[in-house]
Amino acid sequence: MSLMIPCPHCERRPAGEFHFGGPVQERPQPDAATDQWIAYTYDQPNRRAVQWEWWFHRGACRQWFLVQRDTRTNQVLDSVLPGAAMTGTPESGGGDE
Amino acid sequence: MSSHDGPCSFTFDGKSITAQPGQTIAGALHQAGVHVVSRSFKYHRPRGLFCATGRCPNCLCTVDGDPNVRTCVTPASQDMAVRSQNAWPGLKWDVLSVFDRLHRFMPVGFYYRVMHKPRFLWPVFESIVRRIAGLGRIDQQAGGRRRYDRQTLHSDVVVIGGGWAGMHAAIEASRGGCDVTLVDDREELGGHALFDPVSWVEREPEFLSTLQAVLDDPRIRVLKKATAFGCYEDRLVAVQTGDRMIRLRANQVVVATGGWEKPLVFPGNDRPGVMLASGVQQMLCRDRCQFPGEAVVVTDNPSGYHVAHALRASGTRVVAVVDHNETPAADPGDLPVRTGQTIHSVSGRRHVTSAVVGPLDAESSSSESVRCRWVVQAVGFTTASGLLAQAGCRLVYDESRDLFRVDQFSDGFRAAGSVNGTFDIDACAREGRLAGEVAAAGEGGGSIDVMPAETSPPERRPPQGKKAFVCLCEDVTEKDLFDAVAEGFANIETLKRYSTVCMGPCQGKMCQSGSIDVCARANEKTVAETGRTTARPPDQPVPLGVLAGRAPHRHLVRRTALHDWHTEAGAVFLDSGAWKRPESYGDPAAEYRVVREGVGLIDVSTLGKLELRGRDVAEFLEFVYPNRFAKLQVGRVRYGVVCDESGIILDDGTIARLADDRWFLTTTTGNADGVDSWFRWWLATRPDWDIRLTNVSGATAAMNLAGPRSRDVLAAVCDDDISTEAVPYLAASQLTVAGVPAIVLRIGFVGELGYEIHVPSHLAEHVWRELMTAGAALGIQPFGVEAQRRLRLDKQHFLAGQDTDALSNPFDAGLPWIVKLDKPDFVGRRALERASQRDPGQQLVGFRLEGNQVPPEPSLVLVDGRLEGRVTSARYSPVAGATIGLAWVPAESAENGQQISIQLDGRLVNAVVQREPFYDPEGARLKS
Amino acid sequence: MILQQSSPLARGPLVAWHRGAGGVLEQVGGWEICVSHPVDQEPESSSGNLLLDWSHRSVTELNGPRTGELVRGLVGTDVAVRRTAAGRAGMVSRLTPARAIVFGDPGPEVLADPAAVDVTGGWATIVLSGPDAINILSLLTSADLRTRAMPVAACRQGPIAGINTLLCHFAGHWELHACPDSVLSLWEALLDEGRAYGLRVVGAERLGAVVTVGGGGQEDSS
Repeated sequence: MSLMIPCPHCERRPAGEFHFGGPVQERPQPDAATDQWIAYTYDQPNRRAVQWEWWFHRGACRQWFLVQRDTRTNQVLDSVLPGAAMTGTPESGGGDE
Repeated sequence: MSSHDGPCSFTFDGKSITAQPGQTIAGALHQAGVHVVSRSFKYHRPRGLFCATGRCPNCLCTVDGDPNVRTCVTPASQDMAVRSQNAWPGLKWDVLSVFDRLHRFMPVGFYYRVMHKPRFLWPVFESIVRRIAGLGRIDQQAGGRRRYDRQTLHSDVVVIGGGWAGMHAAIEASRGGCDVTLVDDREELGGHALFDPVSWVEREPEFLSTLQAVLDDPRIRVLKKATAFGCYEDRLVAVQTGDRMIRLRANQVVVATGGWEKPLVFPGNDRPGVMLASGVQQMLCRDRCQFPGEAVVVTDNPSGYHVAHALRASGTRVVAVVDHNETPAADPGDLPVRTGQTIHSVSGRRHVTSAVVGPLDAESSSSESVRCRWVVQAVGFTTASGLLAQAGCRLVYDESRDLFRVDQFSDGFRAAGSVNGTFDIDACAREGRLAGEVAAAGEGGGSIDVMPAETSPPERRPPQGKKAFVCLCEDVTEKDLFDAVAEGFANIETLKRYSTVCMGPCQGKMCQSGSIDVCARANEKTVAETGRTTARPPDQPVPLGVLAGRAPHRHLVRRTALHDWHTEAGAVFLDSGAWKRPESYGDPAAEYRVVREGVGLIDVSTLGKLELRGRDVAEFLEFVYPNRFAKLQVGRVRYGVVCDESGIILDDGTIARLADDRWFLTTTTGNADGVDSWFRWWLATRPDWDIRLTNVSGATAAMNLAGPRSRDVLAAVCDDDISTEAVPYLAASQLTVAGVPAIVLRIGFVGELGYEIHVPSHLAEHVWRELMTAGAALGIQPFGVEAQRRLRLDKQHFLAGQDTDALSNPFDAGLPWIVKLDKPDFVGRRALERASQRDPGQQLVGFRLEGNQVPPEPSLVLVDGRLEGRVTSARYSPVAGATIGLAWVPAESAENGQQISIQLDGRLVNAVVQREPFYDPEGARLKS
Repeated sequence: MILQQSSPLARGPLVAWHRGAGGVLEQVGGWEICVSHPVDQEPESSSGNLLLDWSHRSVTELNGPRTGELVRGLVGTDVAVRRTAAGRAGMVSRLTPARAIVFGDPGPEVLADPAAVDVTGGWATIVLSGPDAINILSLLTSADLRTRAMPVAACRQGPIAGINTLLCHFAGHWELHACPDSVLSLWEALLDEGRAYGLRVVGAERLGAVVTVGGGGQEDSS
């Protein structure tokens, strides 16, 4: 895969250096409804949309960070460290589309 | 070498051939009068040089064992052994040329339809078809001798194609401050300029100064004899040069790959002697070949006149320039011109003997036969736009030029020159400079204006008659395509797949425009409506060895700090992932015994080791483990399993508290990176936690000193108090062992008094040697993974990943006590809560099998003849006096003392479930 | 009963390789190291591409939000991410805002700090120098090694020969720091690709000549 992922620490690197951690999802509260927990645990959304997702730079700095990517075009729009503001699009909860 | 000093000689099918300096193999063969160089794929028709520019399949030969070498672009060298392909017994008399006479019984796709009945004969047919089909034979030994390698280069601007437009683009991009890589697949830069002297005669000084400017520019890296064959995401250009693959990463790409001359489709158009003008020019200029005898040139543009002049200058008698136009496309001088005419067909079998020329309109039947040996076609170019299409650029059909060109570029891509459909020399230079300038500014992409063509769409005469080849690679005729469309394969993509047109070695470079044209006519549609097939890498043929490369990372070996000691001690190594671990030192049974009875030492450095520091580590551990850690005392160690949100066991290990805010964790060998990554993810979701994780797996070596005499050995190299009062079972102590600071965990995976000693890697061999020396009098022995597996099985300690899988939760794996559901929240709590309420599923239990037969993993567990479980580990245990193991069994069969059946050597043997350790169930030895 | 103990002797992961290749091993400062190789005695080879094992060094990892503060204490100024700078007693490579590696002894104060972890033995260092160093590296990594991307004093983590390596560029040489468990694979891969460039191994005696004093780190510590 020749896609480049911008690591906030190491700059742009080939996607093969990374591990994909799935779209960002909010973990339900411990006492949330079972349906919410089932959705969070087992239903992996596969959206055609711009989404925020987790990436892990396993072949270098071994840090997790967040990438904003358009799953339709594979275009990477932004990447930030956890805790920084994620701007732009909805990313949590039930899947749209 | 781009050229050699004197003539050289090589062999062609055993016959000696002399090549002049700078000549290609094909050029030398041509000059030696060898005009049949191959046999066609399906009908085994004789074939000669056709494109002579490295695209068509006709010149493919086996050279020094490499099949399918394009001899028209491969320089000859001394003592090369060149062999023709696809002909038996030889090129002159090929037995299978009988297929040429049987063509009516072999329509497109005939073997799908004919040979599958009766079904039982298909394997026979298949083996015959496979032997007959295919191109060349692979030299099975040659691959191993070759050294393929792989390089990565980066460049601001990559220019693909070193012709006139490409050279200008490179100069301009460099002038814009960029470093530039210019990729060209020929021996020398220059493209068309090298073999069209008529067009370039007045521009030679300009050409030479431009070439020199490229070569002198320190910012331009020129890769000659380098073929760009693929454009991948984020502008990764794959380039092959010799046995090397270069991965060229660019910010901007300028594609200046030029054009491919289009062949005409007419009966007999594949006969040796029929050639494309660019190939003839190439052979005249580069190979200094002659074309003796008479030639007919068919053209609709000035280039036909150029080649006619060049042929005449070399001694060929040009008997006709057949011009599609009503008035000559260029000044004919005294060339014999026939305007408004085209070629209808050629005659001759092993070589052209005559050509039939006549009016262009389809209905007209008036024609004339002209004696000739050469038929040269110069009827325009199509764009070499494969790389652009791969890059996602949108190609549209330009009717006025009769070619596909890009009207919308992908981000970071531009094109210049003939690949845009621009053939005028000055316009090519202008486009090249513009593309270079735009690329240097980092503004590639978008659309470009192409000047409207001055020409009207060319006229073509539909071929009349058989054996008019659209595709030389796969022997697909115009009639085959019409038949396929009639059968329903009307779409250009299905037509390609069914007829295999464009699927041969040329990958459509020769036949794409022709096949689209036929498809359009057969469907009575326009070319624009017909469209074209998807372009995919590789755009040029690439040896598989180059793609595979040598991948050093596939040979990564990880060795512990004690590896050299193990080697000297005669260890038998076991591959555990990338790790080399001692499986044994020759006698696992003896190693087992020494641990049970005396003392043994095992290298467990492959364990993952994490150091966690900070105020919130206890809270973090409470969250990522199902059991409790907040109240773990300093100096104590506790076992834990890591579960995911669905309650599945990811890993297990130990958690030691070295200080209030300092913890030391171990993971299993295989999951060291996985647990590190898992923990880091949870830490990333809570940036507010004061926790610092340091992976000390590499910095720390570990060895387990185990056995009833282990305390004696440790005491000999440790001044600290290690009595069982000072260092009790499950103590985590910081001691000085053999003069080295160590973390010593008193845990007992193997079921004996034992110390897991963690020391800095660079001092590990020192500590190991000291322990071995200190234990010598007590009979200490090193033990390997095999003995350890037997020892732990006595205790029913499972190995995460060996005895558990992606469905195993702690309840079913026999660890219900480890899940503390009264904790308000932890990873996997909700799923484990539900699991605790459900009826239990399969359970991981110990079993005892009378006798010493050992069921291999994973033997099946059967209940009433139904498959209900499996054995995950089994060994013969001396202390149990029986074969023991771990198995997943149904909950109903999981009670102590129940009988289960295990399939072994095709029969069922009885085993008894045992839910407590086979050895020292009270753990007295551990705690001693 | 305490047996007579020998004083701890440290070993890098390449000691057995050196011994097998005929290197001269000596005990220096508590480490068993290869001081010279037979080829060292020969006159300067034409290529001048050299490979040297520099695993015998203290290494400390600085971790957490106080990393910057500790780096400033060692270097006198902050060190940007992806840069290496010369510190009081060694080189400091800044990997992320919250992580730095100190090669060389940082002193007891730093080692006692809770943000510092002694990881000596967790990193092995290979020194590569010579005119073709960049060519050899380009056969083993997808890294952009152009001066612009990798100037002197730059450092970069990422795979080299498939092994996660910290690559540092100095004025006259490159340093490759990797985990000792896989460093033999890295060493062999460098030698294999380097053969075409006349790459040869030299002993630690040559360290001073290959690694110019102070490294290149002082040139850019912004």
